[in-house]
Amino acid sequence: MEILKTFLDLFGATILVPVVVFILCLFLKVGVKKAFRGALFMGIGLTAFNIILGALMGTLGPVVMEMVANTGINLPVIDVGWAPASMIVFANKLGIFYLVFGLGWNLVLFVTKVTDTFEPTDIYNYYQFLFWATIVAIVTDNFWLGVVSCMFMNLLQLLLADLLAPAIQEHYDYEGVTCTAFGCVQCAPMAILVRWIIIKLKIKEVKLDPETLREKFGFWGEPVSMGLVIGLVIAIVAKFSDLGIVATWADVLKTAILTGAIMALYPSVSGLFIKGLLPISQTLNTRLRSGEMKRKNFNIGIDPAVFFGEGATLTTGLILIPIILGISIILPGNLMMPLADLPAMPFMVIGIVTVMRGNILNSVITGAIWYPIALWCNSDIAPTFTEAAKAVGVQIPEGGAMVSSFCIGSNPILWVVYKAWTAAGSMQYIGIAVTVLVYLALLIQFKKHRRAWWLAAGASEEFLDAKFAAEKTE
Amino acid sequence: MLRLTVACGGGVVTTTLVTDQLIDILKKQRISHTVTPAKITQIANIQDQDLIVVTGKTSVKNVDEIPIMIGISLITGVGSDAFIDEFLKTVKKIEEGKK
Repeated sequence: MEILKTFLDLFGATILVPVVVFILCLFLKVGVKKAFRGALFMGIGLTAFNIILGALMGTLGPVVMEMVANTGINLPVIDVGWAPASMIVFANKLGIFYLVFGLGWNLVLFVTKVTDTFEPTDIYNYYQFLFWATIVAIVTDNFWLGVVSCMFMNLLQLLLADLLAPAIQEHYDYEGVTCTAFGCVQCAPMAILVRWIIIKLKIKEVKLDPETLREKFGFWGEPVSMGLVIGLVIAIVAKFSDLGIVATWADVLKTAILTGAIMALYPSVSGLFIKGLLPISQTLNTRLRSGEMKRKNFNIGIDPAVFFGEGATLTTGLILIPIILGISIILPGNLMMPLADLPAMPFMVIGIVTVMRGNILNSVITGAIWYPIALWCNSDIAPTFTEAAKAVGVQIPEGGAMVSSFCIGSNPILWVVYKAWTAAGSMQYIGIAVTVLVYLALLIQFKKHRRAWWLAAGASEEFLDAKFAAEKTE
Repeated sequence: MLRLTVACGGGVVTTTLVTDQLIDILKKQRISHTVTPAKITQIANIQDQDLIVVTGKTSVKNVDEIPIMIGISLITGVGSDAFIDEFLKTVKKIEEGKK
């Protein structure tokens, strides 16, 4: 571990991350040329992102702090989005370590049948719980506790993936896959609770038409125009008292263009970073499909982007964007201003829509209950995640502005784990013990009554019958 | 010149995965091309493109009626050969239509 630290201090993440990924690729028998190209782009992506993030924080940071100082709106945490969050996480030493270590851990869990989900095909999305393990390691100043907490969070996420798999396969109509992105499915337990209440109280389900609604809320899904408008509004609010001066308007418009530009640049830059990890996912996927690993009933973890475009998911997300944005401004105690992750809202309702079987009204209501709670959790951890960002060289201006990701930091389940694992004194041991015992109880409960849980998570009797009948005849 | 847009939820992960494969296919067939990444929420209003490939299922339609193909099989690997056949057929039809 000391060696890793020395190398990281000397060469920095932009060199070390690609090197580790390159070696990992070779080890998994990805071709040398493909592996090298991927690793190279990964280093370029990391470098490019530091530049973009520096520009964003350098311009928007002071404006947001002005807004905090000049108005009552106290939202100093800037949502930089899930893509930079993933890079900050993978550039920290825990992230690099877990890319290799977590892959092994996942294989062990899969082979020993603790889980039916094969997650290494979605290796990129490790960062969604690594985010939380990273701040556990920072707060406790204990690298190995960070690793163990990460292994534990990984278990929670695999339980959720196993639980949701049949419902996801039924609703999205993709064979043999599940969602292994924690930020997309952490809302599912809340949805199971809400759906249980709806069924118990015999409330009649109201059906809404996704097509007409999507057209009405379409604007909220246009990242560039939305970035422009949000940047404009923040700058106007921040500089409200000086709006009579022409120079102020120059600043306002520059801020608006910058936030628009950031939204436009994100996909291409993060696309570079991803190229290093894709060969790993792809190679493992092909080998699994070709039957190299013999297993009858298993689910493949797949990137949530393939669920995003489904009618109910997209529409629910788009409707929730203005609702959550409004709530974030008036919610007492919230410090986070959702920005870069607003277009990612449909990602954040995948778990809900799956459980609600595509019912938009129920999904929107569940999201509107869950995400304000999640905003508090996010506000709580933002100062610590800002430290993680600084540690990998992200330039954050003085004055109190902070960074987090709305999508990844808004996770009440992992927030509880984080709080328990970082509690002071002997409370920490109790916290760790309680979370582990709760997980074990849930796991045993799930293994014993799979069918009942699958039904509660939104799968239908008919689908489960058909799925398992097909397997018997195979 | 084929003007292709590849789109997914965030315009990043699966978009990159599918883009890399489609570029390989187009290069092998010696079809000149440009590929633009996009988010699903943008594809309804995209203009001046010949073809859109979305990585997952979606019911979104394009205002200019640019054809939309669903490329999920390039990610899961199930049925990818059939998709590639159909993709090339569509591309050739588009290129002939331009002449």
